[in-house]
Amino acid sequence: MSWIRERQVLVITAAIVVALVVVLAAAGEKESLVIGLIAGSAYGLLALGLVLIYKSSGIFNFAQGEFGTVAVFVLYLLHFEVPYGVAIVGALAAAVLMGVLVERLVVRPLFEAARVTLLVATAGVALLATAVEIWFGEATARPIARALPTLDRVTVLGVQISDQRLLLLGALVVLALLLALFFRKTNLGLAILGASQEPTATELMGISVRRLSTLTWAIAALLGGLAGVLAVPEGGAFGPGALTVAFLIPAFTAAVLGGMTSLPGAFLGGIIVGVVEAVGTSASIFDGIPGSPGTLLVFVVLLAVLIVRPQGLLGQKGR
Amino acid sequence: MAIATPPAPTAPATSSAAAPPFRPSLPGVVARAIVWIALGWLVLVFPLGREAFEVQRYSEAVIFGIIGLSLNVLLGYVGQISLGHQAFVGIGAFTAAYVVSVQSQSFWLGVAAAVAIGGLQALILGGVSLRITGLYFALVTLSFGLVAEKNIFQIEELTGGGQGQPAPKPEGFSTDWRYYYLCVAFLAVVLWIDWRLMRTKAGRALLALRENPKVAETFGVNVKVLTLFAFVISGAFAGLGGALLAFNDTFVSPETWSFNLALVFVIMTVVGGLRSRAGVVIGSAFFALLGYLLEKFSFLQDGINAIPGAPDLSTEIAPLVIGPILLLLTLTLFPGGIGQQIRPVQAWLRGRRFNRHDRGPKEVQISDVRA
Amino acid sequence: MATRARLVVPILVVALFGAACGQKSGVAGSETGGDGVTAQPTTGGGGGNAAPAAPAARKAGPNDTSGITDDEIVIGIHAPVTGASPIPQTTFDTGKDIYWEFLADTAPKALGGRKVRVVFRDDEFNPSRAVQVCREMVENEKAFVLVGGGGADQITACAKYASQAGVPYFSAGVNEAGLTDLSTYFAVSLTYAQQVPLLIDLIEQIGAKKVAAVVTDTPSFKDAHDTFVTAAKRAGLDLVSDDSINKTASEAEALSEINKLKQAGAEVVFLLSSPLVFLGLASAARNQNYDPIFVGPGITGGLNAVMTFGCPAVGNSQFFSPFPGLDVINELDPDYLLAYAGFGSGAKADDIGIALWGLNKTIGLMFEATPKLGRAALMDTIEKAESFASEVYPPVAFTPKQHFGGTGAQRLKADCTAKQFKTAAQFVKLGSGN
Repeated sequence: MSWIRERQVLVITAAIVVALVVVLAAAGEKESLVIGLIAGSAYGLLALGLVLIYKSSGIFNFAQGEFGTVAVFVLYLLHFEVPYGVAIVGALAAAVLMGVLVERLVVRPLFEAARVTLLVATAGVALLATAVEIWFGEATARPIARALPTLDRVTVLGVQISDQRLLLLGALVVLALLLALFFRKTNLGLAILGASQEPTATELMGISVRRLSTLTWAIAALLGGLAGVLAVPEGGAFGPGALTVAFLIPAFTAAVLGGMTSLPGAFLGGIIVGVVEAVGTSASIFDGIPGSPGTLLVFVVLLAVLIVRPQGLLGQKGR
Repeated sequence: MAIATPPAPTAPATSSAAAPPFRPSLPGVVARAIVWIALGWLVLVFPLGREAFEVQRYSEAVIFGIIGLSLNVLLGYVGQISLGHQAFVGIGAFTAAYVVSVQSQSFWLGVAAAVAIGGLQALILGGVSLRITGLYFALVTLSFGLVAEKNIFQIEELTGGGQGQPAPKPEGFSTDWRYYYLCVAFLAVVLWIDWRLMRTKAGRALLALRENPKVAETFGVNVKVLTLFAFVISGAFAGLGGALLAFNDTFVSPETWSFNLALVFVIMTVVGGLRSRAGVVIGSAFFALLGYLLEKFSFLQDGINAIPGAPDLSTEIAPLVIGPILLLLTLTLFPGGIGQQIRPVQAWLRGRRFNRHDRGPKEVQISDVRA
Repeated sequence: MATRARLVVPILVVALFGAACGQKSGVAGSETGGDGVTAQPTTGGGGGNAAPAAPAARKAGPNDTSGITDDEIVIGIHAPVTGASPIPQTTFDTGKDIYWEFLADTAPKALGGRKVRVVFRDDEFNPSRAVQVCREMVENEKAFVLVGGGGADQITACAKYASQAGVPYFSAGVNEAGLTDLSTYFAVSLTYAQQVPLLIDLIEQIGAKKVAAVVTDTPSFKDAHDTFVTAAKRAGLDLVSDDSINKTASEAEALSEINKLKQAGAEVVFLLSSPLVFLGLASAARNQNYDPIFVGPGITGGLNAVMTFGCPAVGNSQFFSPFPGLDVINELDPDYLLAYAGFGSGAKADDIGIALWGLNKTIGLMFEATPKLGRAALMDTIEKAESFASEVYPPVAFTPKQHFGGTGAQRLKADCTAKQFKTAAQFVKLGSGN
């Protein structure tokens, strides 16, 4: 049974990738493919955390982006004092701390509440985090250095990919695979899944659902923090709410496209959103669309996918 | 039993038919009358003595009430989240401004067009995405909001592009005071429609649908048509709210309708308390006036400024910080929102006994993904 | 019991309506009664009409002195300190007052012995909000004049309101579209379109042939864009790409745009956008190993903030600006650094401060030149005076038909070793060549 499911995932992924490559190469948009990969990797990494939370507790976590922004802020503050590597560890620790705090102070008191209440609550956390960032800093952008001191580039199809971006892509692939394995193979992963589907039964098996919840939020926050410290420095600057503003909505779109419960789906969704955005911007046939055509294209793709396959590209029914 | 749950505000708290009807004593009647008069004074007389730009803020609060009710139809009655409501409101605003400023038509035609367009776009978006429900649908609306912001509101003919579109107040309502009363009248109409709607068969079916669509369908409720119906109503209210907002500001620009505003809309409705008309209106008005209230009653801000180590909180940032804190406190301490808290008072005002423990029917889960 | 409840609600609704109707007539009374609140001026869609070439003639009115008392003049200034492209609030807060504090200290007799009080409101980078706060500053704070601190669309929106309300409005030069027909608007430096000839000269001086234009997607910038395209063609430059970009462009959009420019082989990019979009494009270009020279008309909000993190990506850029860089301000106006030392309460003097200093100084000169200071008299004086030279901004000269009074600009060039924009050419005059 399970190998059929896995093959289905594989087939759908391969089909989409091949279709994208063929269509774009034929349309003379091969650069958009690489640009999409570059921009989409950040969306994908953020989407991983969204999927993790949704998979384990059914919550649309609007605070996911702020885990990243808080990490970047801490990185910014710390790297005046300590080496970059240490600063990154501190930044990730701050993100995890925030994740645990959010779980304890906001998610846990609302354990019994409707999911929409939790969605609103996490949105409130995001707004509060952004406001506190403005309060303690300013609304303006500030500089942030890259993790890798040198700037090496690889040329793929005429587009340059920087070394840090490759690092980000690598992290995304490795983490998506690791997490997928974690949920399939490890007891802890299975326990988290069980807790989300049958909390009472899980408790009866002697597993503390609440402790699992803390753990999931901590992991999700770590993923968010990682997305922040890897993706943001590429732009050179960041401001309050940086990841929420620039990445959260595409990341959600990516997660839903991929199926919301599928970790490889989040990765695939991220790349698709990135590619579609890039094609919308560069292809001249969309020039007549007012504003940024990429946004409209992403919406059309999202709608089409959800209508044809309401559970998303790699999602499974009934989960 | 669940299906027969009547709409919240007029629902008797305990339907013990055997108890003798409660009649308030004379002092009770007087006390109730005084509170009613005080409320009426606050809404209808108090703004007369205020400055024009303040009355403009009050009008905004009233219009936010209409928008809150619009979202309440979706969120409270159908159980669908719209994270793109700013787009619906914004399109209403630009439609009205366009009809009045570019087409040089009357204010009333502008409002009518905004309501019609609001309903129409809800019909189209709802129709296309009927198969998509729950949080997935929320994502569709979220994405639609972004499309509105980045594409629709960039149509220069409609919105004036980055420069925005002027929306002069209508003849006869050109002062802020008169316009305020116009908004109050519109809010009353919306409240009335909402109330009537929930008393019809369709309204009761809607509530049944929200609690359990599968059971509702078994009882012969046409889920798709009803959902779409609620969606259109919500869109029409949102369009109206947008139109009124446009003329209140006398100017509409694309930047107003950002994703943050959509969050504010959802937050004010949830804090207000789903399915409680009074709660939603109070919650919406409160969030609309938050910045203004913080300016007037500066002790909250002073309190935060007294925290050692924290930088001073400027008036620009104070509402951004305090708003979400209030939201999180409300949600974690009173998940039913303002509506649940004021229920005993509402019942008392309607001539019933004051029952502190009247908290209404328990919140039911909105099913997540009904795919 | 339920029946009673059913009855009460409709009765209340009716009562509410009745009361509301009754109150409406009441309002009409109070309005004419005049309780000290001036009714909003007619909001006819004056702004939406086609723009004639020159400002509409002002109605000859009394010399409105609201906002002026025996010892005070109130100025209302708006700028974004939150929103999509904000200016640092603390620098702005200090910068907006310093000139006036310095003036009151060194020349207490100036302005008839009155002190200038600056009221500030955040417009959140939103034109609609800008109109709201401008109205509040005029009606509630009783601002005598309004000043736009930055952001072309917000300036345009607020200036339209100001012209309807008869309030003089000042800003550094931005767009012309939407502002041309406003009788109370005054641009105290070159508009974007007016700077185009200077830019063409600069491009020719750089020696580039292939140029591209990237302009933020707003009708405000259409005039500057069109002027540039026409001028570039006339100058024989090869316009290889001509694109608009969203105000809040995503990373994918920035990368695609840069990729397009790179393939077209643009050597110089004419850029008209917010500092944030500039930064996104510049760092995308650097990651693509492509370094075009970005040039553009003056960004009103100060550029050094971009330098602190834009380097080395922005290292090749040159911009025109109404105000000079920090490197030469002491030669041009030694008062600036003195004033910051005296009244800056420790704040660092920066280029946003210079922008505000120059703007305030120009307005101060206009106030000083006006006998019997009032709105009508002030605007009359501005239109009739030969010119106002602040030594910081190039001199400005207005006529009743020309409210875009700039005569020249400073040219700033990025310097990545000093991490600031250095002044490459001072007071470049229109039509003089660089």
